[in-house]
Amino acid sequence: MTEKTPRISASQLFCVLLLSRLSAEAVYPRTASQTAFEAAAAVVISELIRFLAALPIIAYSSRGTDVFGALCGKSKILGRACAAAAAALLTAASAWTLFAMSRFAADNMLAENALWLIFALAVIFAVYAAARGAEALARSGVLFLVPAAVIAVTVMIADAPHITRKSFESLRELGSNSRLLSDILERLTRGGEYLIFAAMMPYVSRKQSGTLRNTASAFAAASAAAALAVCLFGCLVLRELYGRCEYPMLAIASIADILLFKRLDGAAAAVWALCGAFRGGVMLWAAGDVLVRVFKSPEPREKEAA
Amino acid sequence: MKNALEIIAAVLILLICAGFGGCTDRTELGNRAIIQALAVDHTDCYRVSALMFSSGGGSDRIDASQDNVIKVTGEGRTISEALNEVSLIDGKRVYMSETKLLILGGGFERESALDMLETLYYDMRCSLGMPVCCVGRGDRAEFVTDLKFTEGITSAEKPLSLIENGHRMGVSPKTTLLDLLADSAGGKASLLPMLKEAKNGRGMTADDDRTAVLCGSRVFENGLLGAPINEKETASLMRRGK
Repeated sequence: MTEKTPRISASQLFCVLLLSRLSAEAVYPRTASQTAFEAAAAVVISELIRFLAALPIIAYSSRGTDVFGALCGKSKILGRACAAAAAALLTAASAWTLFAMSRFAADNMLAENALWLIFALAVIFAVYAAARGAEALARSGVLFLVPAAVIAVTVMIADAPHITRKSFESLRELGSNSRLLSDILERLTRGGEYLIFAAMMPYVSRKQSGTLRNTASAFAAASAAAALAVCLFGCLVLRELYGRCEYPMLAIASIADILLFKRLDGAAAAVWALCGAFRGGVMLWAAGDVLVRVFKSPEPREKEAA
Repeated sequence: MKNALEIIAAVLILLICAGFGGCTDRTELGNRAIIQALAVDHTDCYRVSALMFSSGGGSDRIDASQDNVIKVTGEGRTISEALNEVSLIDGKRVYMSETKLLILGGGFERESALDMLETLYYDMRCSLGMPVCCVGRGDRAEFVTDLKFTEGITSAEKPLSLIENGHRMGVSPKTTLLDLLADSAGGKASLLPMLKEAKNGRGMTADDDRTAVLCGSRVFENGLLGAPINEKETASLMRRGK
C-alpha cells in the first residue's frame, strides 16, 4: 500500500514564497543603508543575484520533478551533498528567522524580558507547522497572507497623507552609498525562498507542474516588486529617518491613524511575528523534506529522474 | 505518529501559554501613568511636566472636565531620569505611546533637544505622529500644563486642536516627531508652532480668562530652537512650503 503524496497548487506555492519573503522584510532588523537610493539599489541588486543563483532550479522547474532526486539520479554523491547543503542552509535560515522574529516581537510588543520565552514558543510553532506537512503549510500560507496583505495595504493607505513634497526631495538624495555592499550582503543572507521552492516543487499537482517555471518567474518579479515597494514607501514616509529605523515597516505602522486605532504597529507586529514564525516552520519542513526525499528512498527518485 | 506529535505540541503550547504568557513584564492598565501631554524645559537639568490621564477621581464614568487629568512634574539630568521621577511620584509606570502633544520650552535655544527626542521615540515609544510645539523665548513650557482647559475629555486636547485648526487655516505649522527626527537626520530645519499665554474671553480654562494662543512659530535646526517668527512671517513661510 503506498502513502498518498500530498498535492499543492502552483498558486499556493506562490503565496507561501511571497509570504516568506515579506515576513523577512518585516522581522529582520535593518542595519545598513542610509538613503532611499542606496536601499533601493541594494534591493534590486540582491534580488537579481538571488534570481541568478536560483536559475538552475528555475530552469529545472519546467520539468516539474524533484531537483535533488534528479541530481541523485546523475550522481548519488553530488545529489546527496547538494541536498545536505540545502538542508543545512534552510535549517540555519529557519533558526535565524525564529530568533529574529522573537527579537522583533520582544522589542516591539513591549515584552523585553520575554525574548527566550517567545523564542521557545516560536520553535514549538515552527516544529508543529513543519510536522503538518506540505499541504497544510500551503493552505496556511494562503491564510496567513490575507491578514499580512490587509495590514500592509491598510498601513499604506493610512500613511499616504504623510507623503509630502519633502518626501520626494529626500528620495533624490544619493548619499555616499558607503553601506551599499553591506546592505546587499545583509539581504542575501536573509533569503532561502528559492530553496523552499525547490523543496515544494515535487508536491505541486501534476496538472500544474507545467506552470512551475512561470510560478518561479512570477515570484521573482513579485518578490522584487514587493521588497522595492516596502523600501520606497518606507523612505517616502520616514524620509531621512528611514536609515535609522530598525523596523521601518513598524515605524510607518506607528503613524497609521485609522478610524478604530490611533496606531497600527501593535497589530502589525502581531501579524508579522506570526508570519515570521510561519516562515521558520516552512524552512524547517523544507530542510527535513529535502533530506528525507534524498536519503530515505533514492531508487524511485533515480527512476523518476531517468 | 503525526497525531501524537500534534497532541504533544498542542499540550506544550497550552502549558506555556497558561504558565507564562502575559505574566512576564505585566502592568495593569490602572497602573500605567498614561501621559497625554508632556512639557519639557531645560535649565541645568530637564524639568518635565506631564499631564496624565486619570479616570476622574474614582468615578465609574469619564467626566469631560479637567478632573480627568493630573499633573506631575519631575527633574533629572536626562529626560529618562526626569520621567523616572514622574513615575516615582505618581506611583505608576510611565506609558507614552498615546502621548498627544510634546511642548518644548525654555532652554532648548542652548541645549540640543535631539537626544531627548530620540529617547522619546526609541525608548519611550512615543508615536512618530505625535505633534510637537514650542513656547516663546524665555517662556516655560510648563505654563501649558498649568492651564486647566475645560473643553475636551482631557485638557491636553485643547492645545492640540489649536494647532490642528491653525494648520488647517494655513496660519500655523503642524510638526510631528517624525518631521523633527527626519529633518534633523537630513540636516534640514523644521518650523514649530509656538504657543503663548494670553488673556482672552472667559470659561476656556478653570482660571477663567487665562488661555494659550498660537502666536507664530520658531525654527528648529540642529536640535536647537531659533528666534521666534511672528504670525505673518510664519504664514508666508508656510505658503512658500518651507
